[in-house]
Amino acid sequence: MIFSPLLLILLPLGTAFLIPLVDLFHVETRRLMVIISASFSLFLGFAALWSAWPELLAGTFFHSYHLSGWLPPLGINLAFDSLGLLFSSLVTLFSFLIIVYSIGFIGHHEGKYYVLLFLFQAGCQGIVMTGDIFNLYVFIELSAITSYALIAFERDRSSLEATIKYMVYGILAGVFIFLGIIIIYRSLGTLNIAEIADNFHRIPLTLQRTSVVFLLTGLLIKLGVFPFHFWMAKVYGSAPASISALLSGTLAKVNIYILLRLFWVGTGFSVLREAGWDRFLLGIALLSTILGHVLALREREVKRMLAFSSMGHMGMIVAVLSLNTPLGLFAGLLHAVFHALMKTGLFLSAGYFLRFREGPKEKRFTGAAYRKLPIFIGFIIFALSMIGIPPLNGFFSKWFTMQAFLEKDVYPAIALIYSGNILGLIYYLPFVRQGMLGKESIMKQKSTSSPTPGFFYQERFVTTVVYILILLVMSSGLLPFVFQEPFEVMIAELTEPIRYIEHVLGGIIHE
Amino acid sequence: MIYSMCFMLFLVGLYGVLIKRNIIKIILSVGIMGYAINLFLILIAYQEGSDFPILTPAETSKAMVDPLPQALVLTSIVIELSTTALLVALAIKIYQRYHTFDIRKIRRLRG
Repeated sequence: MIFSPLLLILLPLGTAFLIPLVDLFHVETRRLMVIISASFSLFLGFAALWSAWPELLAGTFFHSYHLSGWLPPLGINLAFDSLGLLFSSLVTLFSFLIIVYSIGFIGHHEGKYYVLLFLFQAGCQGIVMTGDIFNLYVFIELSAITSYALIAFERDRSSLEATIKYMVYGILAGVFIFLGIIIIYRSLGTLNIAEIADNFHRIPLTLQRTSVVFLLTGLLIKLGVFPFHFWMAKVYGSAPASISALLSGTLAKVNIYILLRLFWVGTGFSVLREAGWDRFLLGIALLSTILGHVLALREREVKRMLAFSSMGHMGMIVAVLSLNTPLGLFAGLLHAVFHALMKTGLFLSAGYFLRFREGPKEKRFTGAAYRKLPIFIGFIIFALSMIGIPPLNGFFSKWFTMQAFLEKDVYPAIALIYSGNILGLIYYLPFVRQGMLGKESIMKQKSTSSPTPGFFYQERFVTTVVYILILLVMSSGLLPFVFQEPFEVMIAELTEPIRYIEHVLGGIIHE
Repeated sequence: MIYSMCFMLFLVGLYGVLIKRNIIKIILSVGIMGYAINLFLILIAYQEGSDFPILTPAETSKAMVDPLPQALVLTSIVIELSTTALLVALAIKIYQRYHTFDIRKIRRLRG
């Protein structure tokens, strides 16, 4: 790689702390700085991916950075492997899209908003790069605390309520993860993920299982899988649409990364399997799939419906990952990427209609097609992709998911996912119908789309982002096999954690 | 013995978070839970009769306590401080809107 991976964390972190300073002097400069910084971090992300591509295909991609020069088992290190690269690219791409979307979307208290957004990006980048488990916890908390503040950003009643609820769950999740980490430190005396992976089997069995239970509970709360799904609809429904998209598109995928990093590499999957917890995980994930789709049926508000559908899809990803077969991991990673694209698109296109129209939230979607037809067609395309119509990308990830379940003879799972698809068709249709009816409500739309007209508050930013997402969904549907080779490398790294250990700890011998 | 007391403190906090209906009491319970964890972290570093972990030129013969958890606890306290501050700020906002701290009443008011 041509630059240090540390730069991907430092750039958003630095921008976040510069914004309030620049904001004091000149507001227009700050707006320009936000755009430049976001574009530059997108450029860095692309440069990282571009320069790493040959190494990635060869299976030798690994970069580490030792903070203040301390070598791995002693100091904090960044361990940037192929799985980290995938999720880091996702974080970079979606942060950029959402920052550009927000330029035309937010329109009040922007200074604070971008500080939080850049800090969130830094936190997510940190999670996917760090090789130190306590550092992982710190970055989890960084992204969590900024997301609490972002959800409460509208400051109205429902968002305050949602934030209190989400915060209590989030703090509980953080506490459980921290307890798990402390127990591991107590037994091994190390915080380095590679060294933990190397020595985890030496811990007494009860302590192994206690730490795994704490870590898993914390992560399941964060993922919103079945017994802990209460916060999702409320949070996604009342946060600004850009933030709902960020939570469901980026933060949820980062949590999937933590799940993979901790339980496939850190502790080794055998701990889960020997205790029979992989079956348990499969069970609750499948339950959350069907429950999410069923609960989405009765929602009349578009963002709450999307939240429940998100819960269904996250359940499906966790279920197919917990099979721990190469095909299952492939399907899970593919669906994580594609679901991020589709769901971000859905939230952003729905948010466009909710933002630029007046009236109660349930009514604002009426007559959407007459407000802006291309965006509405985009919404339909994302919905079709979500249901899994062949030329679009959702079809392929579901296809591989079905195959993975067939391979392991888990027939109930196939029935559940198939019925989830049909339910998806049923709960997206009323919204499409609602959007096409009600021509008379066009009269009630807001006179100006933006609070203060000007270059930086234009609807065009919002619509461009949605068009880009439509393009990405359609093109990734046409070329799903681009992902095949790099994903196989990642899966090999996940199934043989020894490679990660050698990459991180082997560096001591060479240097 | 002291570990189990630490665990009991944690359970008190967990009970408060899950059962109490007053936002202020929930915030205090979150604090208690955090203290229990910090105490646990300090406890696992402690060894009977060992010295503080600073190298002095005079004597280095005694065993020292593990310094790493003490560094971790500082970070954890800072994280807790920021979450508590945010929670309290939210509680103030909620009180301004609803004039109550009771979660059940807040739900009913919204309808």
